[in-house]
Amino acid sequence: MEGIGPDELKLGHLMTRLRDGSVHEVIMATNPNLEGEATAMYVARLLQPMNVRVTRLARGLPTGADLEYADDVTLARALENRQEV
Amino acid sequence: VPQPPRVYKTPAIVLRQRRLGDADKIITLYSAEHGKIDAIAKGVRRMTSRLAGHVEPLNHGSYMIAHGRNLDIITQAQTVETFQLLRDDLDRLSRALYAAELLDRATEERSENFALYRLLLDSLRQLCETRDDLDMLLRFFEMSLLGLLGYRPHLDECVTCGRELSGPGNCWVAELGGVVCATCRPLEVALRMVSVEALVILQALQRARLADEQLLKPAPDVAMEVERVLRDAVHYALDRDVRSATFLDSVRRQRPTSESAGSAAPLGL
Repeated sequence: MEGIGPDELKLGHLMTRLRDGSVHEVIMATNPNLEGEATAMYVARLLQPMNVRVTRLARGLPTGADLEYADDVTLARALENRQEV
Repeated sequence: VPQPPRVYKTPAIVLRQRRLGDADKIITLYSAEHGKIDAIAKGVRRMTSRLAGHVEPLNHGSYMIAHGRNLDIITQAQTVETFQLLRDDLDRLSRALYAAELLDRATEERSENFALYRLLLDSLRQLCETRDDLDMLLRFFEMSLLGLLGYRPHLDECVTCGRELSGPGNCWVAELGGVVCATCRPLEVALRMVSVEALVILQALQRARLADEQLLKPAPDVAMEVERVLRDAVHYALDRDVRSATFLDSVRRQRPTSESAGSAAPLGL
């Protein structure tokens, strides 16, 4: 999207680094929007056979936000990733 | 003389967005009442934006839009459907994005076409729900889109001689907008042959209503042939490439490798 196709993600480089087994976890820090989600899912699927832990940044409510104005998706994500207080 | 209203409200589906300046985005909507609209969503790249979640691509909602000097401005938005199931599944998402891009590329701004709006909306809903053949659904979308745009492929008779198409040896000629029979087909150019099986599927797609296309169960090679014909027709009608087709193809290529996990052959990237 926005002209960045799978070929422009420089994944070959990442794959090379993963292959020597010294990497334990890949953290996906993509934007929490449709484009970012799509990219994260795409990369995660690609890394699946590499036997490495793939995680992504938590999504939910930003600091300083007002609950009243949160949209459904944000609220759903915030609930999914809730934590013990 | 009554002034035209400064704001208007319309149901719409977000086709795509692009960045504008530091914090804004230009949102491309396909609306029920005004066709395709480009409008600015102010401040949606800030983390505290209340609008951001409502203007994500593939959102279906109700939008309040104010006439601006150059571009219109989205002042309020209320989401109706987010198609969450579709967003959580790369196979469905890549197909939905392809459908949205096709509609975006195929239409001009402010040319109202309610049937196109309906087609995208129903197809997105179907893409969320269906457990069957996602690709057949896309073929149905392409065929319907071509029809609604005035590029309905001519599939029942030969485009040149008008005789009913029977038997093998027919081929698809995008420039003529249809299928040419074995007798009429020009010999000097490289042509896309259409098998009898593929022609039957194409004809059925043209007559089908949404969800009926799932009853067609073509063999994989026939499905591939149908896909090539329709992509060719779409490409000729739009006269440009569809970028998300590349994304869709690479997602589909991933499929077999991800299922045979473990035997990790280096992936072609």
